[in-house]
Amino acid sequence: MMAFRLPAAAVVSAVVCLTQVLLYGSASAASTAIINASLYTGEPLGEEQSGVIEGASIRFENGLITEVSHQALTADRVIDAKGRVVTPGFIGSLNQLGLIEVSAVAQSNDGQLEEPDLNFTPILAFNPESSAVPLARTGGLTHSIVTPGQGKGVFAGVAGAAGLTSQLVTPDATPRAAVLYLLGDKNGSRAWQLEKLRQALKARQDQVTKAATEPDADTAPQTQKEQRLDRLLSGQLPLLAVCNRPIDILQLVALKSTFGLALIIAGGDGAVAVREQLAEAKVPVLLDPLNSLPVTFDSLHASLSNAALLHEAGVQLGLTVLSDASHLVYQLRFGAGNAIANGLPRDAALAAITSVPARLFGLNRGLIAKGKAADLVLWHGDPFDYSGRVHSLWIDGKAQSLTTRADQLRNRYRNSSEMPAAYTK
Amino acid sequence: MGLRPALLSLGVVWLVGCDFATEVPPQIDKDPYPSTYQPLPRQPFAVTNTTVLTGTGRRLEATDVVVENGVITAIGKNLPVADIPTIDGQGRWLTPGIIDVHSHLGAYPSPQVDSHQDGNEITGPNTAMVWVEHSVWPQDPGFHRARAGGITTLQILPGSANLFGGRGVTLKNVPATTVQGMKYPGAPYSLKMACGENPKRVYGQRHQAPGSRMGNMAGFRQAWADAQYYRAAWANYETGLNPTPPERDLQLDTLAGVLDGEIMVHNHCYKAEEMAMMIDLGNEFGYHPGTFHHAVEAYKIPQLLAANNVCAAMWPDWWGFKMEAYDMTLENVALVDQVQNSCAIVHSDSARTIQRLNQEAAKVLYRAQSNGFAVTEADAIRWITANAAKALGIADLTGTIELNKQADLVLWNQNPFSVYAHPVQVFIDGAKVYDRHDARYQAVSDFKLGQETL
Repeated sequence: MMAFRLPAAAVVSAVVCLTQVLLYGSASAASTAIINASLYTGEPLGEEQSGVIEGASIRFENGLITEVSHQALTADRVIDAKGRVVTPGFIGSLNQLGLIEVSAVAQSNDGQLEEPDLNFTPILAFNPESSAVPLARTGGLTHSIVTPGQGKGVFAGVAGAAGLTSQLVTPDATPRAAVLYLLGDKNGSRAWQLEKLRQALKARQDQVTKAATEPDADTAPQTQKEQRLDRLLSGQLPLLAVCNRPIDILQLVALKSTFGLALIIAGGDGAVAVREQLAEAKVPVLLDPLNSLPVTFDSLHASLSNAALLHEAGVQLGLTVLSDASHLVYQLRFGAGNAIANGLPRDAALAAITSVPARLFGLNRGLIAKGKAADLVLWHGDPFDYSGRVHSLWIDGKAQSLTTRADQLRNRYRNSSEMPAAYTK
Repeated sequence: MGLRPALLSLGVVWLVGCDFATEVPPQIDKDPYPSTYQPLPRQPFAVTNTTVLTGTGRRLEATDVVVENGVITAIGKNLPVADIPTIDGQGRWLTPGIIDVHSHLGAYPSPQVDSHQDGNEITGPNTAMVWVEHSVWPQDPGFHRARAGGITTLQILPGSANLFGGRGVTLKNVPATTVQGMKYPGAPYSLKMACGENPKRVYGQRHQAPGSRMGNMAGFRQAWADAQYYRAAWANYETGLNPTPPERDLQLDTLAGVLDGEIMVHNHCYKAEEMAMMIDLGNEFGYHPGTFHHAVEAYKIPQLLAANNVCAAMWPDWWGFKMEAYDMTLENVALVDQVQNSCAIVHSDSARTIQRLNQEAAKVLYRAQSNGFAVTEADAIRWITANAAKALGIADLTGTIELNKQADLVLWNQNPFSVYAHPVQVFIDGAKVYDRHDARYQAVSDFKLGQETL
């Protein structure tokens, strides 16, 4: 649980001084305060205390949150939220946003390989100019964990984190998780897949152990693949396993225990059947809360109640959008709303799309707390309901456009003109 | 059915070995797989003191709705309801049963195994001879999930790989062991057509026609020309101009049914220029172009659609999966709806979103409101009820809360356009088919039996 401290006056004044100094440097260094907000911090503040602070203020500068207070804060720019909700920016995961412009246009699709391995880093192909990126922002998303699709290898590649700014800067390529699909396969057996995974981990483990016993041996990883395997084996790089059948999930939990992996179960339709074991083994689950059909024999347990049941059992829960998440990840908040409607506490639903994915994938984001990245969303109305919508959104403290190509198309055709629509821009 | 005795006598003639073509005029049985649907057990009831969205554009507050013999018999305030069971509707909302005009439940069921991929006869560009009802698996668990979401009526359509995909069927969403037990009595048959990328891709890749959009149009036109000829041949025979009956052709039976106005067209067609082409095609061959489905670009031609009395069935937000779905705008439905004489529909085409068609409509409603469209809950409910009923040719029977309409109803725990809304109870023909708080009214598919732990 993240400690949440209300500010000391001294800290506030120190921040003001810093701001004044920075003002002379560059305009981007100016501080901004959002005052009079209903603050949803991104996780509960304590066992009995929800993560909502009414009448609160936040200040941010240089891309970071510098203060959170019960009192109205001062800054170079002050925005009165008038009691509206402010949340951390939402974090989509398990999607291919920015990797696919049009799914059926193969040349615009960089999300998967036929025979991938641990070297495959699809985030390198992330296109900030994709028209899907601004649409994602209108859903309150500020970051996305971009994940390789299913291929034939043991590993599908590694996931990466993309900021959704639309700016033409190369993305941070840090691997956030090694990705594995353990699903039924027409041409194979999941037994063989599990065995290949175990062997890959064991081989590297043995190699390192053996090298360590030999004098003059160089135990440093020689290749990127070895480096990534070492980080998997040390638990620094999570293993994100897309897996639905309960017994398969337990096989992975056993591997976690054998090799000390940081395991995350994604998909997870069957996780509910082994939720006690997952809670015990501290294995988090990423779930699309709208999965409710037995789409395969792996998903017989799919139900709208699963998010609430996993949470109740003490499983750390993240929420995702499974269905065409390259284009519709903006719907993440509606999935969270449905999870709430089916019993998940609001705090847990918000955490599941902010602080939980941030923590699982090693991002200093997803929480409204001092020192966290200023990824913030100011809302009209309820962030989880259809009547709510984004008022303003900041990524690393910078306000972002909320206009999409879809908006421009609407505007062009909304009002009739004597001239053809093509003249309306 | 009127044609049954004729068929019976035909059968007898066949048995005695006569040449029936000259002895008894052949007749085409137009309803050979008739509905056996029966309403579930029911009793009169009233929902009292509730908020009613009528589906006719009205919102009534603190209103009572009385149901007897499966139909709505009274709507008003403070009605005398002492002698029938009542359901307290205070704080709740009552709407017509939700209707999805585009579903593949049963034909592409869950689980999505190869053995169950029966939704599209992808063996030729014109498969107007197939009827999707012959592919429907009534045990698809998706029917039950959809009912829990308030779906009382749905049209099952064949897939869109072909120019003519075959006949669709309209079902009452009741649990049944046969598809005949779900068939909506009195609903017309439909014909699925598909424009654009799918037919030209599927057949073009096989180096056969159509391989382009102009190939699509040529395929449509030749088929309708053949159907006109076939229809005329039957007319000539029936009026005695020609003593020999035409050879029976199941493909042309369906197309001729459209030309006769007995079968309604449902046309998968995304793009503005293609919808305009399909309207002209209908005029060229003398049939109504029907309803455009997946009409992602309907907002570019709303006046043209309304002027031709055409419905447009749309997703709120699906886009980007192919080029013809690239020009999505989230207000598409509202832009179509604001034109006079329009017929805007929200459809699912999905076993997932059919469970929340109210929420699909909500995405459009509040988005449009916040951008200045004068659209309300009372308007939005029509997109998933009355307008859908019109597209299916059953608007006289269902789709609104009006006197003498079939009592297909959903009672919601709150405003149905909230993410937190649930159907509390669902009724079909006045019979309770779902109750969120009573497991006796929560049907479960044979498939799920013994496999469901929760």
